[in-house]
Amino acid sequence: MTVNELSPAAKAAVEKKVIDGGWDGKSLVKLMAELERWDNIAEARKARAKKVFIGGIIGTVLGFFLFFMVGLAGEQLGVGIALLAIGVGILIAGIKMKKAARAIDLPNELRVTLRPVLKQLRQDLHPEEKIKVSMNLAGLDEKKCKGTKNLPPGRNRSLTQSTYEEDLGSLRMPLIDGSTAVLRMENLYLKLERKYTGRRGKHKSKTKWKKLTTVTAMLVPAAPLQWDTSRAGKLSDPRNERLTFPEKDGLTIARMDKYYKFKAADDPPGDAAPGADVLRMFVRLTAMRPQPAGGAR
Amino acid sequence: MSCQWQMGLLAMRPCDAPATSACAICGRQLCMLHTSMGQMGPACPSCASRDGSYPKNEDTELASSRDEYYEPYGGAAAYGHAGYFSGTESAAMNQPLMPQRRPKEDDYDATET
Repeated sequence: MTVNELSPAAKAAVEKKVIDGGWDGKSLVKLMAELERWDNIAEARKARAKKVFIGGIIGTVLGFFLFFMVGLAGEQLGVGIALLAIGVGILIAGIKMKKAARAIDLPNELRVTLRPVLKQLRQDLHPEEKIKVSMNLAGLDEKKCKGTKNLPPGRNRSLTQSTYEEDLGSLRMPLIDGSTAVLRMENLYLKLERKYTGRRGKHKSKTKWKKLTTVTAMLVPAAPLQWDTSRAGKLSDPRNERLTFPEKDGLTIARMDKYYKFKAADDPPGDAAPGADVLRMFVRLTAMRPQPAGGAR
Repeated sequence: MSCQWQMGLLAMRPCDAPATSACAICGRQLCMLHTSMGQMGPACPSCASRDGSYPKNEDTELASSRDEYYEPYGGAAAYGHAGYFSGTESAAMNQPLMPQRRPKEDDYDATET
């Protein structure tokens, strides 16, 4: 699948790495489905590139060894150089494939978080109102690095921590009952690079990543209402959730922030907040609306 | 009679289309769109999603996941384990005003594996 096979909207999103403006529910659900397929392809390419890259490393080491064995000791320099060149060639191809796969990759939040949310809420979306979207799909790059600092090295030669901030953006979804569901997502990445000397005196380095994700779900009522806060304690977990009721334009908004922590070595964590969790956040906010007599369900 | 099937997840409202049958399991009045046919007779999306003999469609899928989302909340199983976040992380995340976006030096344990 190439980028030209995508619909114009999906092509623009993949190329510009941005989704913004007003969207009707059906078009946005369709766009998300297309971008999910595209991201699955990108993930498969990334996995393939990783395999080629590892093969390239093995091939280069083997080629280097054979270069000495066949080329120098066996006095067949041409064959030795050819074997080394094959290994290096695979390695270069692996690096290029990795770069190309990263260039077309989209944040996993699109597939793991947004798509399930929109799919489940499609009957709740207002058919005539537009969903306001402002999403940045550029992913993690050096521009998002907000600083690097040296930490006390301890037993290591050096210990540096870099902080990256990624604002994925927001979705304002007008619902059929006149209220608005707002979803915001932010990621904070911490990259820890440790340089140390191994037992045999070799200089080594290791990289660890930590990703702190903040998902914010807000329910903006159509008219002023008194939220039933008596259930707030039961409906949120203070360990990784925060429930607040800020005021804006004379309306009391129900807001829930949920925090996630993901870890990975070498590459930034690809995990994202599950869409089902976000839906549960919205359901709990809805549960704090004053219920009509006899219950809504 | 009008269809009594509740549409949506957050803004639930009755379908209100003219009813043509009733769910053989729960007795709810149903329009043609929200009727699934199976071994037990006509069924609403919610009952059809719980019975394997009914075909699955968009409405049964939505009904099934809605039932799941409306399960009672609470308990460690739903929200992870108590020790998932360190004390400093929990404190940083639960500031009285805006949550702190950039961690302080002691928010991240560099030696943590």
